[in-house]
Amino acid sequence: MNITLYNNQSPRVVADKTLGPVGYSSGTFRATADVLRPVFQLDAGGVPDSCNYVGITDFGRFYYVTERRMITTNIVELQLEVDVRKSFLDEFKANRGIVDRQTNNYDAYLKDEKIPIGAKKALAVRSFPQTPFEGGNSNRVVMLVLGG
Amino acid sequence: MAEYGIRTLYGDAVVRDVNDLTMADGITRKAEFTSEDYEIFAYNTMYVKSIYAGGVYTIKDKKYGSSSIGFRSTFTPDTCYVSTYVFTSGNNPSLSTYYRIVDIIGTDPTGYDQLQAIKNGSYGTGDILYEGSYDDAKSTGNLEYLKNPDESPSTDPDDPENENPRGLEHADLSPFDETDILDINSLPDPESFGNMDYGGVVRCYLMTEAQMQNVAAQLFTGGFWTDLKNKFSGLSDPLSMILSCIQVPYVPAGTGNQTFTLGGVRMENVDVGYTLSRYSKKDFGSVYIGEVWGTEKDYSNTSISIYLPYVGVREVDTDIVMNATCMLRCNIDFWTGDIVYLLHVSNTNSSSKYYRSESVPYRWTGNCGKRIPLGRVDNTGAVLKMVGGIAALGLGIATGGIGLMTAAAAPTAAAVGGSSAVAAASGASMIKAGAVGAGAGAMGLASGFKPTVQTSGGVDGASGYMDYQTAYFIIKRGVPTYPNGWRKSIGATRYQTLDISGLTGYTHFADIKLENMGLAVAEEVAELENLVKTEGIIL
Repeated sequence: MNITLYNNQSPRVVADKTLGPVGYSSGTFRATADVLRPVFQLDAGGVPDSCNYVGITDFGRFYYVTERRMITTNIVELQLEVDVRKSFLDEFKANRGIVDRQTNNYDAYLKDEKIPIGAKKALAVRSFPQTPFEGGNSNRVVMLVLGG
Repeated sequence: MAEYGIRTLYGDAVVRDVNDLTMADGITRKAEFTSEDYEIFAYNTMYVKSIYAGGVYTIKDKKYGSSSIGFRSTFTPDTCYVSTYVFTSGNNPSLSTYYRIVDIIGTDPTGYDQLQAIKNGSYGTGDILYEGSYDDAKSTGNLEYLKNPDESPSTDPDDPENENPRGLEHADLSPFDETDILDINSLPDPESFGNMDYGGVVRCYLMTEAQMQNVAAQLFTGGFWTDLKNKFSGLSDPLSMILSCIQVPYVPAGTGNQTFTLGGVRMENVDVGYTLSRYSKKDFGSVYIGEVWGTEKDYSNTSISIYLPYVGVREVDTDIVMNATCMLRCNIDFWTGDIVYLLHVSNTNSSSKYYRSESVPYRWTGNCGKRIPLGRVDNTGAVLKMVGGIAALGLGIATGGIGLMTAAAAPTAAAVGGSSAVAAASGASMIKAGAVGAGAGAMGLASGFKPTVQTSGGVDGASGYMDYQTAYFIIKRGVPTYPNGWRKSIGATRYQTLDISGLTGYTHFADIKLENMGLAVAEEVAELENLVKTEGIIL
C-alpha cells in the first residue's frame, strides 16, 4: 500500500486542489480498512508536520487528514476522510445537472436573492429635452363662435 | 382531387391539389392549406392554421372589399378575412363569404411547393398523415392529428418540447420576443385631418391677450350688441353664440387674420387670428434610460414613473422603458384642450422586452385648456320689470312711452324731472325717477329693477398651469451591494441544465443525479451530490 503525502492549501470546495507532495510511505493493513475513512499508523519521521492531505493510489482516492495523533514517539496515526470532489472529478465532469449559480455561465437578469439591496433608494430625474408648452403672453385664447 | 395530410415544420396541415378544380362559384383555386384543427365545413368556410411570415395575401374584407396586406406587423387574426383562394395573390373574389385566418402552416403561401414536395417524395412516410379523401380519413378515424391539440407532456423525458411551454398559443421562446408592433407612424396624423372650415357656421379664433382685450372692449359697447340683437329677433343671450373660450399653453397654427365676427355681425376694426385646423401634434424629444448594473437589479428594484404636463405623475413598467429610447409625443385638440400623450419605445438591446421594435405601449389623456369665463350685464330684464311694475301700480307712463333698452351697456342713472319721454336709445340711460312719480310703492318697485347677469363658461381648476411644463421621468433605484470577487465566490444566477465539463469556476447545483461514477460507492455518490447542492464546487 503506497501512500502519497501532500500539503494542500486549497479550500475544500475546490475540486482540483493544488497539492504539494511532502512525502511517501508504504505499508500493509493490520486490520479491516474503511476505504472511506481509513486510519493509518506510520513512521513519524516520514510524515512531516505539513502533511494534511493524502493520496492512496490503490484505493483510487484522495483524503483529508482529519486527525493526527502520536501513538508513540515514532508512530503517528493519521485519520483520513475521503475527498469525493477530487477523487471522482473526472467522472463528475462527465455528468450534467441543473446549475443555479455559476461564476462564468450565468444569466444576469435572473433574480439573485444573494445580493442584498440597500433600504435607501437612489433618485434620478430624466427630463425630455424639449416642451411645446410656453408660458406668458405666447399662450393663445381659443374662442369658438357661431357665425364667425 | 388529391388530398394529403402532412406534418410540416410548423404543424399539421391538409394540402389539396385543386389546380383543376373549378368550384360552383366559378372560381378556380390553386393548392391550398387548410387546418386540421378546425372543422372544415366546405370551401366556403375555411380556417387556416398558420401564416407565412412576410407573405402577402389577397384578402377579402366583408365590408371594404379586397385588399392586400403584409404580415405580420399589421395582421390581426381575429379581424382579418381571407378569400377562398387566400394563397394566390392577385385574385379578387366576389364572394360575400369570408374566412377567418387563424394561422397558416408552411413556408409557401400558395401551398404549391408543399404539394410538389409530397409528390416528389420530399416528405417521408412519417410526415404523410393520410392520402386520399379527407372525409374518408376522418370517418375511419385515421386523422390522428385532428385530435385536440395535445397539451400533455411528451412521454419521452428527453424530448426538448417538454422544456417548452405547451398550449394553443405559439410561444416565442427566444429572448427576443417579436411582439406585434404598435408603430407610431401608423397612427393617424391629427394635423392632416384637414380643414375645419365649416363655412362660417363655426369659426375658431386664435387671439393674443391684446386681441382678446380689444374684443372684450367692443363686446360690451352699444354698437356691436345693437347690431347683433337687431339681427336676431328675441336674442337675449348673445353669449350663447360663443361656444367656448379657453386658453391653451402654446400657439396653435393659425390660418390668417380676419375681423372678429359673431353671428355674422362684424366687430369693426378688431382683427383677430383664426384657424381652420383643430389638432396639433407636438414632440417632446426622446430620453434614453440606461441600466446601471446590467443585472436584474436594474429591473426588480427599480421603479419608474413619468410626469406629464396637464396629466400628472403616472407609473410605467420598468421592463418596458429600461434600456430603451423613449420618445414622447402628444396630440392636442385645441378646440377643447384635450391632450393625448403617446410614449414611443424603441430598443436595440437584446435583453429588452421590445428588442428591435418600436412600439407605443403607453398613452395618457389630459386637458390643457384653461376656461375663460365670459359675462355681461343686461338691463333688458330690469327695464321690462319696471314697465310692468309701473303698469301694475297704475302709474302714468310718460307720453311717448318708455323706450326699452336695447343696448347691452349698463344703464347710467340720470335724474330728470317731470314727465318726458325717454327715447329708446342705444346705450342711453332711460330710467328717470320722475317718470314714475314718487311714491312708496315706486320705491319698492325700484328694488326689483335689477339687471341680470349673463355668463358663459365658468372657472375650473387649471392646476396644470401652475406645474412644470416639461415632461420627465422619475427613476427610483434600490442600490445593491456587490462585494469584491462575489462572482468567483458565490457565482451568479443561472437555472439551466449544463454539461459540467464545460464549466469553470464556482458552481452550485439545484439538482444533479450522478451516474457512471467509476469506483465511487453509493455513500460517496450521495455525499458528492449533496455537497454540490449545498456548498457547491469550484471547477
